[in-house]
Formats: sequence, structure tokens, C-alpha cells
Amino acid sequence: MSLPSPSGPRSIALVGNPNCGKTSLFNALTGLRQKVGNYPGVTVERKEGSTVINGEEWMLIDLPGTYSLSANSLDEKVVSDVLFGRIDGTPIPDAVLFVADATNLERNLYLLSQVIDVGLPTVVALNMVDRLEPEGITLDVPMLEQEFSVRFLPVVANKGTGTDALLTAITEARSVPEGQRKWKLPEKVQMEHDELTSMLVENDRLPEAEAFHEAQLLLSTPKDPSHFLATYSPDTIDHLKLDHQNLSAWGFDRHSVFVESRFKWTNSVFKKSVRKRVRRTHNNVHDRIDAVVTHPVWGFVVFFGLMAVMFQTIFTWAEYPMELIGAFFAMLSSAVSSVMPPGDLQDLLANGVVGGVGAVVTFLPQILFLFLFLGFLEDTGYMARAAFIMDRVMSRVGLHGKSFIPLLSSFACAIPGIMATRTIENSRDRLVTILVAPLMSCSARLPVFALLIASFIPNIVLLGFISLPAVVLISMYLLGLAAALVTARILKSTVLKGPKPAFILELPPYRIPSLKNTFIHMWERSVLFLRNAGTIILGVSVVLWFLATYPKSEHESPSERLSHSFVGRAGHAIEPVLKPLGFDWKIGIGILSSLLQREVFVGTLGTIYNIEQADGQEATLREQMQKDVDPVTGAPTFTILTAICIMVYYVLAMQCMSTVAVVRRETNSWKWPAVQFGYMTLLAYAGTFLTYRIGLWITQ
Amino acid sequence: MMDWQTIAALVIVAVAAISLVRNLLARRKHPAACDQCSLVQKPKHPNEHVS
Repeated sequence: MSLPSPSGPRSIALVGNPNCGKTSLFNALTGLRQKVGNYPGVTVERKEGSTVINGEEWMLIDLPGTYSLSANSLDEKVVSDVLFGRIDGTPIPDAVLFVADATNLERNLYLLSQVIDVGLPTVVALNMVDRLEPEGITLDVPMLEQEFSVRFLPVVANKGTGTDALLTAITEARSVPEGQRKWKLPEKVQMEHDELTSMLVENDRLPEAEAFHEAQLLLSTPKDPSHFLATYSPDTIDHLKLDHQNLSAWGFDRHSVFVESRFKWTNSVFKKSVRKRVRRTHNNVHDRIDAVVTHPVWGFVVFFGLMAVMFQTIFTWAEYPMELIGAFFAMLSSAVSSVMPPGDLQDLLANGVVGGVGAVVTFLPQILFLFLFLGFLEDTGYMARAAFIMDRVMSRVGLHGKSFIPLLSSFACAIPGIMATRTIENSRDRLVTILVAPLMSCSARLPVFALLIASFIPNIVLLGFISLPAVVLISMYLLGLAAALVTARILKSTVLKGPKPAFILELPPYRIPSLKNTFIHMWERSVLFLRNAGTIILGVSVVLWFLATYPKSEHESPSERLSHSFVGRAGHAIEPVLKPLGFDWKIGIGILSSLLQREVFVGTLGTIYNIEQADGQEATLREQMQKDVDPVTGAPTFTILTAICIMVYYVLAMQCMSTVAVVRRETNSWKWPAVQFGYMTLLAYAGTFLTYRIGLWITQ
Repeated sequence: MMDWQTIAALVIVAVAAISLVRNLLARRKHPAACDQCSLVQKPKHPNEHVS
């Protein structure tokens, strides 16, 4: 069976188990740079790219990893929906490229046999064949090809080897005729299955292959057949009821008979075609590392140790490039001032634009170092171990370890984190994870933390190896994590009560991190960060310059002018609400403008302080903040306590419109993003108020 | 009477304000900071067919 698309390029779907290297192969074939990671669940939605084979353009669709086509979570359902053409506007793929981890073939073959049953031309990419020899594995490829009736081709996706032969094989692939299907059901089950398949074809107009697949799902479902009345004809449902009764009367476990029959055959093929020499040394090293990093006590020591090293180096390594970028923007600002005659445009460019954008761009090195570390931790396979040890903590709050992967992704950005919740089957658990994910400190908070820590936290070394700034930064990340866990616990025991499902996580093998992948990812983050600075931050800085400059009054000092500007008046209006948190009106304006996204806070302060700065004085944002005093009381605007309070506020508050939009899309309603925005704002206010009061009590 | 610098600055402010509002409205459908889709060579959000 070959089903050419009606128009446009022909398409190939990439299917395989989680963490078998589908996305690496997708990147190698298309030249695209999708994010890859050494843990399951990196791809949660389909992604498309194109490649040229023999002069013809083909579309490649990268699908989320799945263990079976009968799986229930949203990301896994995407796979069967695409293969059966159930998605509007997306034709059935012309071929399937099945990606299998050559070193872990046993469980890959089960899914492969299901995919072959779909009836599309299929080719198998045996990925990571370079690791067969070190692991002492030999594969009988001709035997595999004979049993499955499809081609198996060796590739090493992350090095791009074997891809040409693979692409040629895809164009030549043919679907496996139904008669060659080798796994067999018990005779009576087969009979019922065949009858139901025919009914689905005749009564419900399903294509043969889809009917074959649906019949298995319907016969094995624990649900009552009447549950499917909206989908299938009454005749089919009546027949299904009878089938359920018959199979139970004959003593078959309806659910397991299909899985067992298929697995029995794939397992026999595996045993015939795969040989493994026992090499204990290699496994011993991995096992020994795992014994430490997944240990109930040492696991946490390693986890917090790695975090400490990460944040310490983020501060020390980033310092020099940050100073360089800061100096560049200071030079740019004075160049604009000296080249242009005094006036509004000069003021807008020198103070508004350079001040606002420069203040944010200065933090690019810290963001890059954060992603360098996260990239290494993901690539080595450590992230999956972190999820494993955190399962104990997660289970205490009523969530299971699977929720920790989305939370870990949220350290980079809450948006991919929230999308990664699609791997969670239980809708309540998924919702709880979505609601708490933005509490994890994302990279947009880093410029806010870094500015305040560098300006107000003394650089003292503690215990001889870690600095106080690094400790404060780690504390902010831990506060976010703790707030997420406590909130999840409250939600799970009240409005979103539900049972705790068991957690099965496949620990991926340790791998040497790919420098290329990490640098590509860092490059993309910089482009994204700079694009943001060039659009949102630039826009906000320009508008803010106007609001902080007008209405103009000629005979006042810069500080009085700012206080009487539109921004000054708005700031003074909201000041009573923020006073209990120890914030003055300028911080209030920073918070208001950064409702859009968090790093706008830094840009806003950059613009405001540049405008307020008396003509002729040159000072960095840090110095201006340190020197700023209340014009009435003479007390400093920022103290260590104020800096900590602002950081606590940013850990707990939502302050990201993109996250609101993505939660709306993922939950399909405005109710949950509204609940989330409301509870996080309240939590932030209460948390900051408490911190301020406790801080005052300690310092007085 | 406004000088040329003030006129130029106000035009820039107006353009910036309009583009900010447009960006904000666009985010309702497609989160601009979404690093998943900003890297995909496809005009549509890849999830549009799925959700």
C-alpha cells in the first residue's frame, strides 16, 4: 500500500521509542537544529522539516517518542493520529522512518511491529551502531530484515553517518503485505478480532489498517462498549459487547492477550538476532555512578553540589564578558551624546534606547553559561537521574517523578516546560504541573537576580569555596522549587485531588555530551535573547522614555522632572500598594512594565536611572542604584533587604504574558491561566511582605 | 513650535507603541518567547493541528 499525498512534497514520519535519537536524526537529515536531550520526553509535539532525496523534496515529521501505538498520553496519541491521517490538513505520511536504539533493541521491536501493521512503507534506522562494539553487542541484521520484512540500516545520527543510504532506502520502501504479518493471536481471539475489523471497515468506513488497529484497542479496553457509541455505529458496539463477553467466558485477559501475543513474537526475534557478550567493567562504572547519584542521601548531595558549582561559575565566569558589554554600551551612550546636538532625539537614543537595551544585554553571558550547564547536564543523562531522586520528594506532594522533567525544563523557560507536561497521562496531574511550572526560576529571572545580587549582596566567601552571591542565587532557585512543591501539595489535596500514579522512568545511558549540540543550543538562546532585547525591550524602553520625559518642565532638576512625569505620577499612584513590601515608586514602575516579561524590569530601571541622572555624569546602572536615596528622608532606595524582597517577588510572581498565552492554549480555557495569574500574584505579594517584615525585625 | 529632534523622537515613540501593542496581541495566539516554535521553519505553530 502506498498513499501518495494529493499535493505538495511527499512526507516521512519519524517514529520510535523515547530517547532513541529521533530528533538527532531529524536534525541530521534536515539540517535543522531542534533541541535534543539525553532524557525521554524532549519532543512532545510533531515538528516538520524538509530534505531533498534524488532531486525531489520530501517533508520530514519528527514525532514524540512512544512505547506503543495504544498509549494514552497526549504526546503519544499524536503519533497514531499522524500515522492514521486523523489530523485535518495533514495527509497520511508516504513512508515511516522507524528509529531504533541499536543498543536497546528489545523494547524497540514491539513498537516496530505495531508500526509495520499500520501498513505504510517502513525503513528502520538502527541508530547508535557505533556503541554496539564497545557494549559487546552483535546484531544479525539479515535475520531482522527477514523477520520484519523491512530494511534495517545502520546510522549514527549525532555524527550524521549512514544518512544517505537511509534516505535512498526510504524512497524504495514498500509496505509489508498483510499476509506477511508474523505475530499471531490465539485462534478464538483472532476470529473475534477479524470480525470486528470487518465491521469497522463496512459499518464505520475505517480504512483496513486503522480498523485492524482500532479493533485491538476496542477488544482490550477496560471501558464499557457503550462509551464508544458516539464514535462507532450501534451494530459495531453491539458486536463489541458480545466479543467482550465471549473473550471473558473463554478465559482470556482481554487487555494482556494482545500485548503478550505481540511481545512473544518480537521477543523471539530479538533472541534470534541479538547477541550480547557480558562485559561487566563497562556496566560496573555506570552502575557505580548510578549507585551514588540515585542514592537517597548522596543523590541529593550530588544534586545540590552540582547546583552550587553551576551558580558559582555563572557568577565568576560571566563577570569579565559582562564588564566588557557594559563598557561597550557606556561608550555607545557617550558617543551618541557627543555626536548629536542636545535635544529629545539625542536623549531618547542615549538614555532611553542605549540605557534600557544595554542594561538587559549586559546579562547575556550569564544566560549563556546557564544554558551551557543545563546542556551538559541533559546530554550526559544526569537530568533523568535528578528526576529519579526527586520522585521521592514529588511523591510526598502527590505528584510523580514524571512531573519533574517539565519542572526541570522550566529552569530554562516555563513555555517548553508547560508543553512537556503532555507526557503526563493523568489530566489532573498535568494541570497541577502546568499551574506550578512558572514558579521554577526561568532564565528571564536571571538578569533581575544578577543585577540585584551584584549591586547589593557583599562578595564574601563562605566555607572557603562558595561566595555569598552564589548562595543567594541558589536560595532563589530553591525558593521557587519549594513554592512549586508546596503549591502542588495544596492543589493535589484540595481542588485537583486524585490518585498518585506509579512512576516508571527509563534511565538513559551516560553519554559524552555533544559540544556541537550544546553550542548550537547556546547560539540559539543568544539569538532569541538578543531578538527579544531588540524588539520588546527596545519598544518598552522607547515608550518608557516618553512617559518618563513628558510632560516637560524646564526649570526643575532631572530628579524632580522624573517625579512629575507620566511615569512618576503613575508610580506615585501605586506606591501605597507597594510600600508595605518596602518598594518605592521606581521599583513599582519596574514591576508594572515587566508584567510583559521579567527582564523588562532591568531595562526599565536602566532607562529611568539614565533619565534621572544629572547631565554630564557617567555611572553604571549598578552605581546609580547604589547611590539612589529617597529625596524626602534621605534613606537609600535599595538596601540588601529591598534587593532580597524584589528577588522573592520575582520568584513567586507570574510576570510573563507568553506563559499566560501558552497555559491558555494547553488548558483550552481562560479559567486556569486566570487562576494561575491570580494565585501567583497573591503569593508573590504575601511572600514579599513576610520577607520584608521578618527582615525588618531581624535588622532592627 | 517643535524642533526636528522632538518630532523625530515622538514618531519613534509612536512606532514603538504600535509595535508593542501588536506584539502583545500576537502573543495571544502564538507566544513569541516560545523557543520551541521560533526555531521551526514553518509559518504556522506546529501544534495548531494537534490542539
